Amino acid sequence: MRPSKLTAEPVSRLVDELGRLPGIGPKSASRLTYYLLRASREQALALAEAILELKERVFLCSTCFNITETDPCALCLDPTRDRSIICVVEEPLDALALERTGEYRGLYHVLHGAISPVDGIGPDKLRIRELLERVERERPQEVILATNPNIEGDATAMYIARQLIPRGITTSRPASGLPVGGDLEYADEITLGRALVGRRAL
Amino acid sequence: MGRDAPSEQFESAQQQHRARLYRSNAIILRRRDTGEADRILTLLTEAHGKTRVVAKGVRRPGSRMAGHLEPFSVVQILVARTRGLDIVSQAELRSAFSAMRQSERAVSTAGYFGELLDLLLPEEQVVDGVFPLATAALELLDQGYDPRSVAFVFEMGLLRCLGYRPRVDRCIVCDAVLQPVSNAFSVEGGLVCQGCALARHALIPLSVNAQKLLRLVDRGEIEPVLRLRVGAAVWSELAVVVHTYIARIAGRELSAPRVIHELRLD
Ligand SMILES: [Zn+2]
Ligand SMILES: [Zn+2]
Repeated sequence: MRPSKLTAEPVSRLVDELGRLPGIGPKSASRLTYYLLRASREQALALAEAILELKERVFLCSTCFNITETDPCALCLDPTRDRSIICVVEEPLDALALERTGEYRGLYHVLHGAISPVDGIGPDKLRIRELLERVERERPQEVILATNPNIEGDATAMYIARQLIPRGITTSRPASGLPVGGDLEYADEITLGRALVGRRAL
Repeated sequence: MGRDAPSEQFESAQQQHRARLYRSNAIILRRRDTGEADRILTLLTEAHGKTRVVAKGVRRPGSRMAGHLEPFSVVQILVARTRGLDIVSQAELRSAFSAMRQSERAVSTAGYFGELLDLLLPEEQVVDGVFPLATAALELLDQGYDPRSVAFVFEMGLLRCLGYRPRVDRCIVCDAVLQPVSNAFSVEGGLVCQGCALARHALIPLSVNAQKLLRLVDRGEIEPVLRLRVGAAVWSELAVVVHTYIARIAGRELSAPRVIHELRLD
């Protein structure tokens, strides 16, 4: 798997690093590395700087845990958003997908994952405690549980609903129509918008 | 002359291709995202045991396979062998166990089964009895049996299939017939009598009722185990014993029981 000794050390190092990214196998990692080797110095530097900036300037909003450059994030500060609804999603990309529908004017809460006992992921590894504290603090009228329409997303929604219902908070789940097993992030805007509007109380 | 050669070649290539395909019933044990919209699935197949395959494009809503590849369902799959990871080329849902999916306790217990099977089974090797055992356990969860009793039956069945059946009728140290008193369990693989237990460390005490359940399931009397009303204390005694024993066999702690505890389903 490791490039042979014929390869310069910086080359094999980049191949190794790229190969650790999701969706990139050893072959793609080599292809990208040799592409960058031939690319202009400016292009390579721009990529390196973009990665550095990502790590230095982007962090998580301390209210909604979405990615942001400011804390609280622009969306949490936006006075035109409806503060009586919080929509819970698994990943920042899911919030982005819901924003694109144009159907939602409330706030978000990003969990950064979903409950999965088989993978050892329980509520403590997600931003669920922070959600419960936030709900106590902000007392929204409704919490929409827009986790993925799959086994982990359903389990996460059931768990959160079980915590919120005794606290007197209305919880709902986007309507069916979203195909089982698919990722929210890939759903088309019309289907996603419709699922959001037709959400059902839990 | 020589006109048939290309088609012969074509045919043998086709035959090779066919040999590189197999069809099997399978249970999806776990999955992990990879690439743009693919998933790597760990399967328990009836034909080849535990194996890992890639399912291409299944995270896209348009994917015809996605709904058929949810964890803990039984599916019939067509798998193409490749030099790298094998590829699922067709999947047809056989049992979705939809009632199981409505219960947090049942579905997280299924997750625990997934962890056990992935942890304990060898790759690409059929272990007799495991596929029917796993299918039956998921069916019992789906029918609404107490997940704690189903888990116990499944754990003991799996240990037996893998050659780790604990000895529960006689003391594993002195071979004496066990008295109906609080004896102890040793991760060496069975019960230890009170006399021998005094001289040994790292033993887990077991009440008479917990021992009764061990013996029932050891004798294959599954129905009574599923139907008996067993208190939470006895289930936790047995869970400690079985999890410690399995962790010893696997060489690492189990994560699903910790998550299930965290979910506070009691
Ligand atoms: Zn925010
Ligand atoms: Zn003894």
